Amino acid sequence: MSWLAALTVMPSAWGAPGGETPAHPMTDEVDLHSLLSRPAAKLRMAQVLQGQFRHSRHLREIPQPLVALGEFTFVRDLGVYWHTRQPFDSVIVLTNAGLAQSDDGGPVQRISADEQPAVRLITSIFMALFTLDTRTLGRHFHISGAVNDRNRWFIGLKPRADGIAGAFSQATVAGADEVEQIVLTDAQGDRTVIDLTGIRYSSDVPGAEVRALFAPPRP
Amino acid sequence: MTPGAMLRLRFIGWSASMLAMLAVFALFVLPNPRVETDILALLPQTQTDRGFDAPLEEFSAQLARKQIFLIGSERLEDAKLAAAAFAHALETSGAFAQVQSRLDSDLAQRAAVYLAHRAYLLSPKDRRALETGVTEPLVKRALRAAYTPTGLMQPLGVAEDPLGFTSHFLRATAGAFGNTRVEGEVLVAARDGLEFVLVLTENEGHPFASSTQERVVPAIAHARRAASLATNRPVEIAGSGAIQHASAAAERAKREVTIFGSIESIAVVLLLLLVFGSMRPLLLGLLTLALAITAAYTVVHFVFGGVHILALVFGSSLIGSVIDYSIHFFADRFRDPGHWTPAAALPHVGPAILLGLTTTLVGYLVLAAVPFPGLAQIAVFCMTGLIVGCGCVLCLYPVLANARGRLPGFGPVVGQALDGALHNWRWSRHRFIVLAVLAISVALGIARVRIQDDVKALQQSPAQLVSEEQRVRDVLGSGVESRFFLVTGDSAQAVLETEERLTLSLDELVNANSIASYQAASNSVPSLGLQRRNHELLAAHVYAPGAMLDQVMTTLGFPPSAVERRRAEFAGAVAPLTVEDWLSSPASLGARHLWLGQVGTLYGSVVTLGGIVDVSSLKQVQLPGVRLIDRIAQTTETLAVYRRAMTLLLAAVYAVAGLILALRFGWRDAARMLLPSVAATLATVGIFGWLGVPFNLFTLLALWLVLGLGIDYGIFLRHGRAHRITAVLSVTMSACTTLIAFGLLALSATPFIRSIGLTLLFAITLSWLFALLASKTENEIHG
Repeated sequence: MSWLAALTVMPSAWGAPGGETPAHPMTDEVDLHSLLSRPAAKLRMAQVLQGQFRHSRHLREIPQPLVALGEFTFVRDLGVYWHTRQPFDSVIVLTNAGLAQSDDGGPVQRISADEQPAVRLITSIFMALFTLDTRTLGRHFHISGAVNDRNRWFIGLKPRADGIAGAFSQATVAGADEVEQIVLTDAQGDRTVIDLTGIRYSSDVPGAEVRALFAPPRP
Repeated sequence: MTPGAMLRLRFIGWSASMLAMLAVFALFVLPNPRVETDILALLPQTQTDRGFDAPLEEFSAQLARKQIFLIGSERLEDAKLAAAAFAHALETSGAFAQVQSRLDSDLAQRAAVYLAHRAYLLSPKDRRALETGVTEPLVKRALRAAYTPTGLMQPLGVAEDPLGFTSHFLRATAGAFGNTRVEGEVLVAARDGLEFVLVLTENEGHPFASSTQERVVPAIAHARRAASLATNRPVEIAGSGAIQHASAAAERAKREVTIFGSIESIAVVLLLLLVFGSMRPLLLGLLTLALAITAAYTVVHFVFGGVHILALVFGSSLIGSVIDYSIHFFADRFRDPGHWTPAAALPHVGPAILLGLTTTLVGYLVLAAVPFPGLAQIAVFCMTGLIVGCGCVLCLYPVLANARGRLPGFGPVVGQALDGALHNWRWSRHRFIVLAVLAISVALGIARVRIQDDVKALQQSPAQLVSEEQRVRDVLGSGVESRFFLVTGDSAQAVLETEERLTLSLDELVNANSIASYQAASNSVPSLGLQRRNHELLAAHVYAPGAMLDQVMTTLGFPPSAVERRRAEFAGAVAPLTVEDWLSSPASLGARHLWLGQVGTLYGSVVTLGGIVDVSSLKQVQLPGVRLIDRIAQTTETLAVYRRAMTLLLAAVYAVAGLILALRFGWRDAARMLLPSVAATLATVGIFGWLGVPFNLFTLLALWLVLGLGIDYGIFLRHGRAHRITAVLSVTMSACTTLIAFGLLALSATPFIRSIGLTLLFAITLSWLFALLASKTENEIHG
C-alpha cells in the first residue's frame, strides 16, 4: 500500500509557480565557440592545471582590497584544490561532493553538497570557469563575449536564476591563451578579482600525490 | 379487517414508502455520489492529542494531495524540455492547485524578511559557539570567508554580513531536498546516467474522491504524452503520490465489481429460471434487491456522508440474504404446486424469514455498536438492506407473486436427490473416526493460522506504480515519509519552545544517521525566548565595544564609521520575528503547512522527517507535548485491537443468537441450527491455517456474514421440516447464489476483498453441508 508513503515531506526551497518557460541555451553560442575555441581546445586536453592565484576582494567601504595569495590545483573530474598561503594558511577542496576546509593544517570541516545545493552550484561553476566549459556555464548564465586584436578575449556572465544572485550578480572572465582573470561582482557592487598566473597544464592522468589532495579525510 | 385487506394495506403502505425512498435517492443522492476507496477512511480515528484530529487530518490530506514527478533523460536539456512540457500540460489542465517546475525566485525576498530581524537570529551552531563565550574561531572564520572563495558561497556578501551569522542562519533554514542540485531555475537529480528534473504538484480536491481522480489522472496521462513528445530522445517519467494509487485501486475495484457483478447476475438469473421456470420470481427478486441496495446506499450516504467501497462489497452480500428471502418465498410453491397462492405462503415462510432476519440483525447491531466507522457503515448498510428486503418479500410478494405456469421439475429433482443422499447417510464408527481426525486437523490448522494486521498488505497498488514510487525514492535519495511529530502547547510560543527541545533530539538522530533530515517551523521562526537569547548573545559577544564586530571589521580595514553604522543598526532593531509576521511573509513559503495554528485552546505544529533509517529511534524521543504520529503503525495496531475484540464479539453474538433460538425452539434444536455455522467458521479458519491464507479483520467480517447466512439455513430447514424437499432446495439455492456472489471475490486482485471472498467460499459451502447434515439427525429424531 505504498500510496501511504506518498504522505511526503516537501522541500521548502520551492515557491509560487512562475509563468515563463525555462531558459534555453545561450544566444550567441556560435560566436562564443569560435571566440574561445583556441583556449578551450587547449583546456579540453588538460587533465591537471596548476598555478598561483591572487584573490582580491574589493569592498566599497574599504580603500584597500583584501588580498590573498596561494596556489591552486584543478583536476578534471575531481575538483579544485585551493591553498591560500597569505595572509594565513587555509586549504579549500571543492568537489562534487561538497566543500572541505582546513585552516592552519587543523581539522577538516565539510559542507556536503547534499545539505547545501548552493555549494554544488558554485563548485560546478568554478570548475566550468577553469575549463571554459561554456555548456555548463550556459546553464547558469547568459553569456556574452568579445575579443580584441591581440587575441585577448573576455566573456561576461549574468546569472539566469536569482538563486545565485546572492553570491554575485555578474562575472567576467578574461584571458588570452588561458583563463587569466575572473571578476565576480555582487549586487552591492563589491568585487572579487581572481588572477591566475604561472599556469601549467598536464594532459597526463593525475599522479597519486595530486589525487591525494582530494582524498576524503579519515574519519 | 380481513386478512386480504390487511395484505393490501401493507402492500400500499410499503409501496408508498419505497417510492418516497426512491425519490429521495434520485433527488439528493444520485446527483452527488461519493464513493470512498481509502481503506484508512474505514478505520477509527487514531487517538491523538485533544482535538487535533481535524487539523492532522487536514495536514495528511494536504500531503496526500501532493505529488512528486521526476522527468529524466540522458541530456539535461532534453529533461528540461520534457519537464517544461509536462508542467505546462498539468497547469493548463486546471486540475491542479499548484504545479512547480522552477525554483522560486523569492530567495531575495525571503532573505529580506530575515535581514529585518537579523538582530534576533542565529543558526543553532553559531548560537552554541557564542554560548561558549570563545569567539576567536568565529572571528577567524569571518576573516577566512573574506579572503577565500568560501565567502562566495554565502547568501550574503562580506560587506552585508561581515560576521556571516545571517548567512549561516539563512543556510540553516533552507530545507535541503535529497540529492538535488540547482541547475539554472530547476532542481535536478542525477541517477544511472540520466538527469531528472523535479516537478512538484498539488492537486485540487481530495485524492480519494472520484471527481478529483477523473480530472487529475487523465491530466497526468496527457502530460506524460506531452513530455515524451517535447523531445525526440527517450524520456523517463516517475511519479510519486497518493492519487494515482487511489485511482488505480478505485478503477480496479470498479472493474471487478462490474465483471463479477455481471457474471453473478447472469448466474443467478439462470439459476432462478432453471428452478422456477418463469420470469416473475426473477423480476421480483431483482426488484427486491434493487430496492434493498438503493435504500441501504441512501441511508449510508446520509448517515456517513459517503459510501465506502467496502460497504458496497458487503452490500453485495445482500444478494445472498435478500435473494434468500425471495427464494425461500417462491420455493414454498413446491410445497403444494397445485393450490399455492402467495397469500397462503406468508404464514408458512414469514416466521422463518423474520427469525432469520432477527438473528442476522443481532449480529449487525453488535457490529454497528463497535466504534469503528467502517464497520458501522457496513452494519448500517446491511441492516437497512435486509430490513427493506424482508419488508419487500413480506409486504409486496403476497400481492405480486401470483403463481402462473407450470413449475419445472428440475428443482424438486435436485431437492429429492440431496434429501435422498442425506437419507442414506448413516453415522458409522468409521465416519466418526474420520470426523475426529478432521476435527483435530482443523484444530491444528487454527493453531498455525497466520494473523495479518499489516494495513500495507491489505491494499496493493499495481506493480508499475510501486516501482515508480521506489524510483523516486532512489533518485532523490531521501525517502518520503508518512511518520511525523505532532507538537502541541498552550500558546504559539510554547509550541515553538517545545519544537526547539524536539529538534535538539532530532539533531542527535541526524548525527547518528537514524534519520536523514527533518523540517520544523522553529527552524525558520525561532521562539521569542530563543530570539531574545540570540539577541543577548549578539549584544554581549559581537556588538559590544571591542568584541567580534570591532575585531573583524577593523582587521579587514573597515573605517570606524562603517562599524558604528552596523552597531547602530543592531541597537535600532527592537522587534523579534513573530509567528504571525513569519506566516504572512515569503519567509514561510514551503514551511507554512507545518504550522497547524490554534485548535480549540491549544496550538499545534508538525515536524516532518526525511529518510528514516531507524524507526525505533523515533519512538525513544519522549518529550511533553510531542507525539510521534505513525499512521501506518497506528492503523496496524488498531486493526489488531479490533480483530481481537471482534473475535470475542463474534462468539458473543453466536451466544445471543443461540439464546434467541433456544427460547423459540429449545436448546437442542437451537444447537442444531447454530452448530453448522460455528463448525463451518472453525473449519474455514483451520483450512486457512493449512493453506497459508492469512487471517485478518476482513476474514472476520466475512465470518460475520456466515453467521447470518448459516443460521438462516438452519432456521429454514427447521421450519420446513414438514416439507424437506422444498426446504433443502431453498437452502441449496441460497448457498448457490451466495457462492456465486462471493466465490468470484476470491479472484479479486485487491487483497482485502480477496480475503472476504475466500472466507465465504469455504465457510458457506461448509455451512450448507453441515446444516444439511445437522437437519438429517433432526429428521431421524423427529421421524
